[in-house]
Amino acid sequence: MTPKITTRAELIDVLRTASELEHQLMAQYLFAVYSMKRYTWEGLEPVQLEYVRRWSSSITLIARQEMEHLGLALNLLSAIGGTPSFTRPNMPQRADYYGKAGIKLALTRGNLDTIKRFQRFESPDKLTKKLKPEEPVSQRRAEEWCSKKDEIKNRTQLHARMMAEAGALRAAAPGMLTTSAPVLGFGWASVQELYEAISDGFDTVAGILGERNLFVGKPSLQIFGGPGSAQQQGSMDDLNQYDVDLIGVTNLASAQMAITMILEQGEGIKVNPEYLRWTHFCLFTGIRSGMEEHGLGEVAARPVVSNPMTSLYPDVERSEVTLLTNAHSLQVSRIFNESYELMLLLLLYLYSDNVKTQTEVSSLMDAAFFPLMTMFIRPLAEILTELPAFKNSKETTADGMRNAGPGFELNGDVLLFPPDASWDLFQERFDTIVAMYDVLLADGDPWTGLPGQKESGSNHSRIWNRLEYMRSNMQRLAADWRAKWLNIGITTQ
Amino acid sequence: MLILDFEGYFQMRMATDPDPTDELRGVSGYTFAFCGEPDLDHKLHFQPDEPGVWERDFGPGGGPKVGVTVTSAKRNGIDAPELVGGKIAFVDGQVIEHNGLLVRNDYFIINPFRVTLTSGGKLLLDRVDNLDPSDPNMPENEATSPMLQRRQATTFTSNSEEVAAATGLPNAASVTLIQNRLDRKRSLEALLASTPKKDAVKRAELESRIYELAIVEQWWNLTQGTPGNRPIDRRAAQLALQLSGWNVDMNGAIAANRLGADERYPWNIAFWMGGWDGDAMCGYVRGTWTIPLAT
Repeated sequence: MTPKITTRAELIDVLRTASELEHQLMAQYLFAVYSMKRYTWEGLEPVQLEYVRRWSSSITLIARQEMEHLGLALNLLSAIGGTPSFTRPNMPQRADYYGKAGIKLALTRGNLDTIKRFQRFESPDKLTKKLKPEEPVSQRRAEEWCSKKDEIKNRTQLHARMMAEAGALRAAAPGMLTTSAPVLGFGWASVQELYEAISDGFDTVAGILGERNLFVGKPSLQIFGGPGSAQQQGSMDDLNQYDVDLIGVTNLASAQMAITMILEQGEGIKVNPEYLRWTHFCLFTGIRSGMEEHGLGEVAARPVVSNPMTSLYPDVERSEVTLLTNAHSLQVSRIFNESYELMLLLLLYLYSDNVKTQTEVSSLMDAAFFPLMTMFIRPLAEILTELPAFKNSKETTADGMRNAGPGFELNGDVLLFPPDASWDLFQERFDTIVAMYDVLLADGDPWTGLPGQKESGSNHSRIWNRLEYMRSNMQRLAADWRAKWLNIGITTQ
Repeated sequence: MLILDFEGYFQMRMATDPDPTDELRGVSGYTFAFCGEPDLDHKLHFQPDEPGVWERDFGPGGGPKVGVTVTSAKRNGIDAPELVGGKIAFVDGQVIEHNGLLVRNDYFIINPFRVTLTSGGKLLLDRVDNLDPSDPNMPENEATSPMLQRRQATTFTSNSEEVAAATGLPNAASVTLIQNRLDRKRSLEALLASTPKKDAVKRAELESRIYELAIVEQWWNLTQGTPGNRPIDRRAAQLALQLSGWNVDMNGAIAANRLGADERYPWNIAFWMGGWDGDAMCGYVRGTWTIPLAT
């Protein structure tokens, strides 16, 4: 029986799970896309590389929208009195970690098997009902789904139908409120089912408590973009850019809007037909078709080991982890993990109820989104997938993989700093990362012997030059934070 | 005083947000080095023969041609026609913001900033501007706010009619900008149809460009707008976006001075950039270089 959500506490628990799940999906997609080949010296013909570039663009779009879904889940959580969380288990985890949904959490390179796994994550229920756990979706049925013509022409019709269906469900099972199963573990068969349960849960709990009593969160804690947001529309801080659409949640209608959007973008449930091809499920279906058609399923990605880690954490199985042993790759990996954790800490503070001025909100966003995500976390991840995983650079895993990768490692829960000390503690983190770059780059340039590293006009490898660029930028970011962003140029006209 | 008005299309093969600023091929933004093309070099190119320029085919509809030249020249108020047609360059210049670390909200600086005038194969003028005159080699990441502000643009104008007129658009209305992208898409589709199957690299490049141009008809902000009233995609909006207010008293070393400029004073240059065509990775620049004369 699918668990029915009937209390605020259950809704909060499930939204925490949804946040964690979106976070996990995002990390897996990013790991896969940063492993994909970029350059002709990596053994692909120019046309093949163009296919891989298109797939990479699609997967980064999907990953951005998973960040958006994480943001929406946090807004939903905050709107009903929940507190934000960026805690998640390290990967890999067992296949039944999310119950019968069969979402295997693992960091694997962007090959055909991985794409099939992602396609199943985003699949509409209809296509997975009779499948065994981890069995790929039928590609023929997936392609049929993605080419279907739904009669729904606009969002007004879409909402009307969703609401009608939710109402019909309640009418058909009037006893559900008293006989529902408690929400323990993950009781849903898919991501779609999870969000449909959340949607129904919002209606149910609002019906029991009253809408005003359910939405007790401070509207000021909602992080969103576009018209009506605190951030200037069109500025860097406007979160509704680059194909994402964060909305504030303050009542039942906006909560349902947020949930609908997650389902539209992901599985394409009852989506407007003109949008269907851009849904995550259909984008992954297209990538799978392309990989199979062009025979690139195994060669589109670098030979990156699965689940690379700098050390063994208590929440993972040793047999599924690849421990990095190359000293320099370990250093780069630790800088990646430190940067990733710092970004989460900044986001946690941003979403938290800790008192902050609008200027401080902007400061957090100015550090976390641009540039930490784009100028550090991504390039570090890309570099890692070019570096050797092992001390002996000729060593490979049993399946022939030899390159490192970003482990998205967390050493326990992501917790808020004490409010009074937060800004200084953030500064320490920035300064620590600068020092880590200093140590790494003081040790010469160990990467000149790797393929594709020569750059005209430079004695250093391309990787070293890129890390040096990052070090300089991290020094600047640390200085900007120390100066409270007063040393940047003009920002408005 | 020597007054040189200049304008024309430049090329800048750079990655776009949210790609990192040193991205070489383009992944998550909307500009790319497609198959068969060299890596993105992130540099401003005002002349078509500069190393790093890569002019794409546009099909029967045509497209921008790189070339920034002097359109009017006056020496102490008197026309100097011999300088008209002279070539302006921003040598190795990059449009910089480091994703918000130096400047935010795309109020870019150009760095390094070295301007030249060449005519008849001769370098006539060549001067640099330094962020910090006392330390010409100072890394840009060490620049203070006043140093950056000297170099920044100051004003964004959306749907600029001045840009539209300069680049030959009938007007700057959003519907016109979207139509321009769809016209380019049609032109590339015609080019693709005439490209032999054996030219697989060219065909793949054209297919990718057509795909990108089709996105102007797509919308991502699902909660905002209805057909006909949606936020305009940046691939179209930037065709008439103007970034103006660059106004720099150039303070640095002079490597060429064949026109009798007074080297004791700054040489002022003021300009706007806009009309960015992401498919061509070209934009339009118009400005004036005002140089004191020694006599």
